[in-house]
Amino acid sequence: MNRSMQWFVFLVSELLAMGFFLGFMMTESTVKLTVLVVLLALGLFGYRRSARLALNLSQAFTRYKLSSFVLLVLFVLSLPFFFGKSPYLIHICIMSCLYIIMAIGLNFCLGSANMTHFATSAFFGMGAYSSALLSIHLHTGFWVNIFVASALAGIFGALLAIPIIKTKTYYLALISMAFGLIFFQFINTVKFTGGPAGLSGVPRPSLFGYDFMKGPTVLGMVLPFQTNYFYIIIVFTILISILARRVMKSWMGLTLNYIREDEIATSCQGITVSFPKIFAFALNAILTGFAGTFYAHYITYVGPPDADIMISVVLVIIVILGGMDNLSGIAFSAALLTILPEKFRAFQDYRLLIYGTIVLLMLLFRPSGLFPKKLRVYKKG
Amino acid sequence: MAVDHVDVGVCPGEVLGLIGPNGSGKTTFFNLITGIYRPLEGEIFYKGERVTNRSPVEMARKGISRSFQNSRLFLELSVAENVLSGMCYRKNSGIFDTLLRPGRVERQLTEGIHRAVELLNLFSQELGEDPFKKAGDLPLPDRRRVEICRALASEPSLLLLDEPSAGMDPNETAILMDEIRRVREYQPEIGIIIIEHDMTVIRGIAERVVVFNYGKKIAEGTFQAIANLTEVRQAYLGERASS
Repeated sequence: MNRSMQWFVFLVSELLAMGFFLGFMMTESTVKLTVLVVLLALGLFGYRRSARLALNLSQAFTRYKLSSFVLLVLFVLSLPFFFGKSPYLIHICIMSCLYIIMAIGLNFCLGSANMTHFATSAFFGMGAYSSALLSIHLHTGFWVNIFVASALAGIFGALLAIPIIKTKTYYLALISMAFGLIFFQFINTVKFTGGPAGLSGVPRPSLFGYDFMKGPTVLGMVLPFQTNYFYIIIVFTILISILARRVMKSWMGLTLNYIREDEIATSCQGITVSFPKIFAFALNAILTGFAGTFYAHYITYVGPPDADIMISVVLVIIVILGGMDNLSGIAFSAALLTILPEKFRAFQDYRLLIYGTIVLLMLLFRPSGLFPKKLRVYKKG
Repeated sequence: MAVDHVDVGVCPGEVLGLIGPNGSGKTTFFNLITGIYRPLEGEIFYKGERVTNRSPVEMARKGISRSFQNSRLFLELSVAENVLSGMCYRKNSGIFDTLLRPGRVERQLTEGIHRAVELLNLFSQELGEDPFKKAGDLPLPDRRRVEICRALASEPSLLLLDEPSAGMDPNETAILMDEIRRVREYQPEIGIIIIEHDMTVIRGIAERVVVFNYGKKIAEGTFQAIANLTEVRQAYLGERASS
């Protein structure tokens, strides 16, 4: 394929994806939504089936990597103007970003090192609760908390990792799930954390006296107050994805991959095994704790449901569906699995059934996910 | 007890063959040296230093490298990355470089990959042709050769090879023997212990042979010397002492 053809393919597919996203978000009727989901499924199926299509697309996007990234960022930044009438849609976008951040975190354990764990909810709860407690008792604000509470969650994650990594596979999953349940019961029972009532009155962020409860006015258009949070979380999501990518491409990412493939061979090559694993858990906990902190300050209330074990289960499904160790795949599936249940509110009761079916089908037919990981590319020189 | 009162030594630059029937404790012996198993009693000395009860990581960093009987390659990674793992512990950069200076880390990695490709080329032209292939896509004999290459990447002074020729045809075995000889040309100081069932390999490259049976050392000497010993023939062929 020549250059101009590639440019055309790249532009058309990117615009198509954006149009599809907008259409999907703004559609209300269940029937139309179902049609769109079927179209998306067919598109993905075609992409996975036709090797030529996949190759052409990936070549086009590799060539115009920077342009596609810039275009995507511009599109995302303009979303509040499309959704201006409906704050709920912006809320869904914020939640998607939080799930993307958490999925990137879990990927260090599940995707890079193949440690399936269910402690995500505990990390999320740790971030949310510690920022709530910090701001209530020590009157620290949002900008202090996102660092302190995330760090606390990171320390918590590293400490949990010490007993967890003594086990492997199913046992690792079970022991981490036990920690998740213990954490949930703990915050549900102890008075200090408000018990079942939770803690309310987490302050909203402020920035140089800017009021986060007031929506910004742009070109005479008053946007809902969620827009403020939306822009902040977008900046953080981009920053976190860039840093996560660096870790994955570094020696640490490579070491985690070695551990995933064969632990004994790794240690016989002189590579320490336990430290990278604890590091992966700590990074996982920091990112998830960050999402928890942001959530607490956004909703201004934390309660036991924020540490529900279902969060962990959904996150594991997201990483399996998107593709282990493939950041863009994971981001796609995180957004997909956050938006779909919100758009199909009518089928809320069947949510878990659908998730279960997805996992089963993926593991049977596409164990490597929608977008499987690729081999690293090194410069020739 | 899988390995019982054995006394085996190897000198720099020597190739020691380790033979014995299945289950005679050859691999267990390797696992003891590399720290995967801990001995109940006895001592392991390496370069004059007592190294009993060390972890596999420590032993590898001291310069003991090995291949595995059931190939343990990193199958989902590329051939070059497999070899790179031998250089990883010496180059591993800190977290600040990883987050803030990705260019530097990338340069280090690229350098490492180039050295890995060089090593592959040196060991076998064939493997060096497509170093960015997934290791899992290689046929079994090639996987074993990549594994030896991976073991050499850390520049060991003692190389342990666990049945490198298993599953190879005579032709491939001959190539393998050439490659092992070439390793010794480039690194004359390296000591090699090789476990083998294929006696052509042992005859061809081992300067001294140790025979194990039921976890005990039953013979030691040159191939010609041990080949005619009654105990060895008994252990291998099940001949009665009387016949």
